[in-house]
Amino acid sequence: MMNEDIDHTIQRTRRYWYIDGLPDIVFGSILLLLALYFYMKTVLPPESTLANMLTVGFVLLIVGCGWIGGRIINYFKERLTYPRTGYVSYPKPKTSHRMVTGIVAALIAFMLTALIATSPGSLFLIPTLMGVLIGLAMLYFGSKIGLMRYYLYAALSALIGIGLSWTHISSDLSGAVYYFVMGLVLLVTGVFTLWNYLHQTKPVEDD
Amino acid sequence: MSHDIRSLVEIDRLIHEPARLMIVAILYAVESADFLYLKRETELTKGNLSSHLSKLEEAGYVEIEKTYKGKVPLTICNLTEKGRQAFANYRKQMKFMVDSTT
Repeated sequence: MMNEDIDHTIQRTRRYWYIDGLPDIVFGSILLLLALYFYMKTVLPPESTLANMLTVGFVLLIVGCGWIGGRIINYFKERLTYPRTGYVSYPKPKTSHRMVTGIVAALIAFMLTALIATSPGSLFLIPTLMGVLIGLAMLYFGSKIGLMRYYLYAALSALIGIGLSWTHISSDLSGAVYYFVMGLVLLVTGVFTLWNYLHQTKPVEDD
Repeated sequence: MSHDIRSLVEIDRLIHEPARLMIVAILYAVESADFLYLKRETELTKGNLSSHLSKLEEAGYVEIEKTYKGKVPLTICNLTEKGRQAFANYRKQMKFMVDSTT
């Protein structure tokens, strides 16, 4: 077993979390919720109580979705995946890694805000930047664990972002369209992956 | 004795055995994995996998915990700090040998 084989084994083991499509289904559902959030912002009067609640509750929505999403994935993995192909638990991300991710995200948010503040005419570029940045994150993630479908998500994210910039629609509506298309693609891909996985495996009675 | 040959002699033979190397490489990437996952990934028989895991456990490279998830018995394996260090050293030695022969 050469070093490349060892790298391949390590990569395949890390990829195992995505074998059943459950993370794609849950992530896709969260994106659809986000699409609904941005769509609601476009239809509600800007100063209405509900619109203000939506603005204030955005962080809560993101954190809540992440927390509940993780539990939903675990619930179904315990019932579908672990009895078929085995249980694996992964180490929690290191604090330093989380800090770097947080700093990078804050820097990007700051740069986008600065861009809009200094040049309001560049607002139409926001969907492109969002699509490309999320696409790059998906590309990095896909290459790290060798997951091909994440390359497709990355390309799609960039394409939707660029396409939405051309339409010159409002930022909330472009957000709604972006998250709706991405969410739907992730959800459908996830369901298809899960369907394949369930047809190719069967529960093992004992270990 | 040249440095290359000395490196070869110093290779950890417990890890160098292909089946055990695969087990250790899998466990290196995770916090823990159960017997079913290891059996499926290594394509070893139950008996062979048990035997290799026992050897790794005796060397202090692997910890094995027998537990239950509901009524289902579960054998959870994880690499100890000693095992992680041994695997990292093994990879370093192998890389050095490959680099020095090319």
